[in-house]
Amino acid sequence: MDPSESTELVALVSRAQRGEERALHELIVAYQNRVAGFVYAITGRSDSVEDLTQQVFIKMVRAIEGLQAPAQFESWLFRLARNTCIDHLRRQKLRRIFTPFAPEHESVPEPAGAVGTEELDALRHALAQLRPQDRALLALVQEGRSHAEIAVILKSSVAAVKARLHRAREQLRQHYQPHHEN
Amino acid sequence: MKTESSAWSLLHERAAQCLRPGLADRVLRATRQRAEAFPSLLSQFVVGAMTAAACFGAVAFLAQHQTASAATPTVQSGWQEIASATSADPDLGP
Repeated sequence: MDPSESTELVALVSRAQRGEERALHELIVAYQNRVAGFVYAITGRSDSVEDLTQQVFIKMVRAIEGLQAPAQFESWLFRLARNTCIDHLRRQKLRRIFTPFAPEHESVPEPAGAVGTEELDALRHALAQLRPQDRALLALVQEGRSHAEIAVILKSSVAAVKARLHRAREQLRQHYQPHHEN
Repeated sequence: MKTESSAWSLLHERAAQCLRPGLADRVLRATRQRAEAFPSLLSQFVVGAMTAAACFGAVAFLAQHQTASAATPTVQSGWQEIASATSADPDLGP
């Protein structure tokens, strides 16, 4: 089923809220690729994608009962995903303070076969120059979230979201060079 | 901008390739296991209360035992003093 059909989505979410495993399964299958893409855009590491995506859905299953408005499911799910990724990056940063890495461990290359085309490398490189919060903002836009929805997700105003988005896009444009030598 | 959007599509494709098949099953299994592994709030409270009661009982028992063992020689020596004083004084004798 296409979860973007809002009536069907609301029905599916309501079933999942009642604890129906089949509905939960359907929701995960429907959103796993989008959440994985979102996670990859924020973390920039293909080896974290599976683990973080799984964490996001575990949180989703545990918290879906408390979701007040099933129609807001997508925004809610991407807020979960955003917070999970930002927490992960924050923990990683803290860990590096207490256990400093050797210079060769600071920039571990992507696993073999994970890096693909020049375009993808360029985008990853450009995203890596941005703050995680700005990467999340751009990824939310890519997910088709409106400014109003993003404002709710980030607990901010629409005007502030627009301003931040403008800055983030400018920065991305500055760093995005498809012929960049990595 | 067009190339940028195609790069975003590539990024999503790449991310989707990172997922092993059966993610939904793994998530649901992990959720079930967590629910079984984590004790309920009530059982955690009961275990906590029982531990506190056991500690309190042990402390009370030891305190009482120590007080009793420390007091016995003092009391005995007190009675001995009284007994010797009584036997030494003929006025107090039977």
